[in-house]
Amino acid sequence: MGVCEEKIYKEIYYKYSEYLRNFLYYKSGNMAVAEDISHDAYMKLWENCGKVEIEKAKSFLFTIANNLFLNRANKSKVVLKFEKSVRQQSDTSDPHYLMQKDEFKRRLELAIANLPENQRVVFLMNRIDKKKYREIAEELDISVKAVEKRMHLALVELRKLHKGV
Amino acid sequence: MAYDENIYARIISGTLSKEEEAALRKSGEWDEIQEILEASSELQLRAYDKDKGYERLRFSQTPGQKKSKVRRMYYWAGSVAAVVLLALAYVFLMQGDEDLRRAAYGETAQFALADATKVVLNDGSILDFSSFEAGGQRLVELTGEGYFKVTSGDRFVVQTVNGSIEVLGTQFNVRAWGEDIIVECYEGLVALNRGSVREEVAAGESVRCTPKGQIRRTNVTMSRPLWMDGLSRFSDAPLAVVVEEFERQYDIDVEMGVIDRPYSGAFEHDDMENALKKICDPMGLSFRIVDENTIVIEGE
Repeated sequence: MGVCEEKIYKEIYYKYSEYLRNFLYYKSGNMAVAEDISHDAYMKLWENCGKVEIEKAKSFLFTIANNLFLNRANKSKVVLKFEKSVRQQSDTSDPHYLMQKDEFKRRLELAIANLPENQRVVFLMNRIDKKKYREIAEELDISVKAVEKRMHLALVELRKLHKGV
Repeated sequence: MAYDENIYARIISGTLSKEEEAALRKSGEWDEIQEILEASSELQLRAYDKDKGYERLRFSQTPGQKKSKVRRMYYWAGSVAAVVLLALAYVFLMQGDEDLRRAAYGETAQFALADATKVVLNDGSILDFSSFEAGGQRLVELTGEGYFKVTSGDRFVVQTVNGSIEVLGTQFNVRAWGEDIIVECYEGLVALNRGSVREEVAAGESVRCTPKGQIRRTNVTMSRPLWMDGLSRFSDAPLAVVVEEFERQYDIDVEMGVIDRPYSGAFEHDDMENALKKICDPMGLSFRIVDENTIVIEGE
């Protein structure tokens, strides 16, 4: 019966769980919290599987996850961390340039972590999850215009990295 | 330069007019933004194991049933016979490469790290030891509150969002809810780091450090934190913090107006009405139990 069929529930899990975890990580900066809440959201989906239509599952998950996040007793400061990227072997640019590039990346990561939550979440959903504005708007339950605005403000802020080395 | 709104966002969606794009290129903004976009699209998060995640979900109840009131209770199946088998499977599945532990609401969690350091987490707290190496860098990340009995060896660091603690074989308690960090040391010596502040805390001492770096020292006569004996104790804590702790311990919501006065006292974890009295009476407040999920505190 729709989501209550394990095959379908499992598909919903494999399709959205990573994005849900990422979304919560962008908000909280804490991987344990992100995994925890993501798990709880899927549990809630299971409990309510008879009441949620398959097409509404994603929206349900993101809404529940957001609510669970808001309800948490403690809101800690955000300390986002990204995986160290592997330098391409083919990159034969001079070492000085590469070092500058690494340095810029490091400062960029810090600046992203310091963005206001609204802007940071939209920015990373677009950059890391590769989501289009329409999809982000749907998942966050805001207008596309609002998504664009947050993205624009994030870039205005991040552009400051170029002033002053 | 005044542009049509959200112009930077429209670089990504490719909805700029020719004039807008030309203007951005001319001013150099185009290149700057492209550099940011390129660098940021190479960012990656920690890999996600969907199979493992799904396995954890499968140990759950039959569809459509209301979960029992205990939040975050772990994965026990319905029938008794199945429980033992599943428990074993769960232990094998989880123990392997699980790199964090959390204490459910209303419970504590006790375990040992790979170097035999003993940890007890207060309820709602989480310890992430994915960066921990027994013979090398001993680093853990704590959300909430935990008691540590650290085996001697190389530097051991407990990181929290409000500061970090550095030790060499000792016993101490770290409390990092809210914005302050509070360390109580029962044996040995620890150093508390927050921003430019570094404070040593010896056995028998307790130090609280605020976000601004203000330090408050008191003495401590117990050999372990009171919460390990089922009590939460506060001294001059904002009432909101006390109530949050109560909500965590009893897994219940409390509605309360803004009451700014500080609270000093303690409440137990196994008798909710008594606990409420211990909180409300000294403050001249009263409480009302609305239903099994809500309490209202009122007064001045």
